[in-house]
Amino acid sequence: MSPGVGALVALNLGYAVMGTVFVWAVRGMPRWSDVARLCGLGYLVGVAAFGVVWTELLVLGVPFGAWQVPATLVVGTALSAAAGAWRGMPLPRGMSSSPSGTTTSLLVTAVGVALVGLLFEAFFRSARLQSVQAFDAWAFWIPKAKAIYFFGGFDEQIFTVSAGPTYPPLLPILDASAFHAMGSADVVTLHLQFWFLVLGGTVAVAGCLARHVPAWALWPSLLLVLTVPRFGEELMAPQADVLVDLLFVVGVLLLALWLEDGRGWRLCPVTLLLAGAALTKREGLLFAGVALVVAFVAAWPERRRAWPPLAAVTALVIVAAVPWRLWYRSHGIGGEAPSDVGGSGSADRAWDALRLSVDVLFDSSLWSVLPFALVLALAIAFAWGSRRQAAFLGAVTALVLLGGAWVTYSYTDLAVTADEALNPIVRYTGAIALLVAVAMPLLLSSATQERSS
Amino acid sequence: MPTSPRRANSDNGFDRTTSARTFFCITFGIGGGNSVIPDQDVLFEALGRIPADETFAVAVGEPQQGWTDLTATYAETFLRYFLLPRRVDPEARWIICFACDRQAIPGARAVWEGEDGIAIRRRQP
Repeated sequence: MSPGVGALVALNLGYAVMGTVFVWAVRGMPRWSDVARLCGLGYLVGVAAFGVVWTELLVLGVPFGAWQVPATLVVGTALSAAAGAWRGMPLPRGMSSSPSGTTTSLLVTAVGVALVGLLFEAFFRSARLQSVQAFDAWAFWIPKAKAIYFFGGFDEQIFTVSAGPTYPPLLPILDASAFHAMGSADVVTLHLQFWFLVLGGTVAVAGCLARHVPAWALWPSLLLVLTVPRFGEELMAPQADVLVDLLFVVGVLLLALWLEDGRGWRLCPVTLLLAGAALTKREGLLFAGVALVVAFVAAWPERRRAWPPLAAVTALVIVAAVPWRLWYRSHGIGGEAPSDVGGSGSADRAWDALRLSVDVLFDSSLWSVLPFALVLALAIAFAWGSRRQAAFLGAVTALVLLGGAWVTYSYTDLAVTADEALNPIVRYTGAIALLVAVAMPLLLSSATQERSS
Repeated sequence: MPTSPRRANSDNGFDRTTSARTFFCITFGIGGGNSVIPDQDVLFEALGRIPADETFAVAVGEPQQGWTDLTATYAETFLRYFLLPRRVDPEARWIICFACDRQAIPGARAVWEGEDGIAIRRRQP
């Protein structure tokens, strides 16, 4: 293993430890099997927390250097550990007393883990030697990361002259951390950072769902999502699309589980994940808004209990998202709002934009059978499963889809086409495709549980 | 193999231990530049010749036969990415010239010339 790869392993381990200790502090993890199950969620939370904190610090002008990366991870871990100790959380002890589930489900889990492991081994070899081909990557994502790495902050020239000046800086901050860990701006090895993000996101989804859905629903869904044609091409591209999708999807998953069981700790990671999404891409703000608005509506029956913490989550996400917007406005960069928010555009364009979104979603050369599987799972859940969960996940999916149509409609400089050089709708739709990984197991298992009960 | 990758080894971020490995990494590092920069030797030469703490300008003239559709429009964008931490400055001493108008930069001497009208020029102090 080359030193650069080893350093990236250490850095990502640092994210995982910091985030997992945070999850322990808010939830508690009685056994080491809980730690193993939730370390993926911890990893994503660690990544989001690191990015959110450094976005705010860079806006304030705090320099970003080599020692700040480990210092942040150590301080973040220590603060979470102190909070957990103060709340009286016991340390994990022992593994789960007995294996849960039937022999069949254990077998399915073993096969699922093995197949996903094989897939990630192949992804690793592919990511290890990738060059930076995507236009957005070399036009602004990596230049911004290099600027943070070389100059220690939001360099005015790079951040104001590069394309996409309003795009939030969380991903460039993570890239710059990877450069510091590797000791150089090695844009080839950098692809492994994206491998870690996808691996962490997959472990997060599997770990969060493991206790809530049967193995037969979880692993085939995960494998199906990971092997669609589009992800085979773009999963490791050093751009922010996959990261924003992962943060959003795991946030939605936690909200869906929270609506079912009302366990308040889930809203702490949701806050960090959605704040991270809002600081990763511009549509991250839209995704976070969709997830929270639908959660508010879904929680209507328990609004007295559920709305105050949801309002706190919303407020914290907004507070986290605002400073970056203030920074670029103070540097004379136009807002990220579209050229035509709506109303004055033509009905033809609105219809074409909606049709484009639907066409892209149901394009089997991109997403294989994912959208059809999602529609089927929604129908099954509405008929025989949890209608509330189906309504929540269906509404999130529908609003994200409509959000994509609104983007095409309202940014009048975007052509109404799936050509990625002219319209980001294909990359945007990846959020719905990834959402299937959490929606399908939840919906199908709710149907079988309802029927068996 | 151009000699520049060896010189570039010290300050371009691809700090590997052998020139072969450096060449390999730089070649992969070019990535999307394959479709933008027609004579990629200019990338190696610029990395090796322009000190990391200096600035450079990009001057683009009439498109030449060997150029791609993207060269004239995106050469500066790609070089801005590839040559960081070297910043872009229109008044820079170093000029990366894509069939540029030599009259417009009087006193600039070619320090390297490649194919398709691509050259690196340096203004005399």
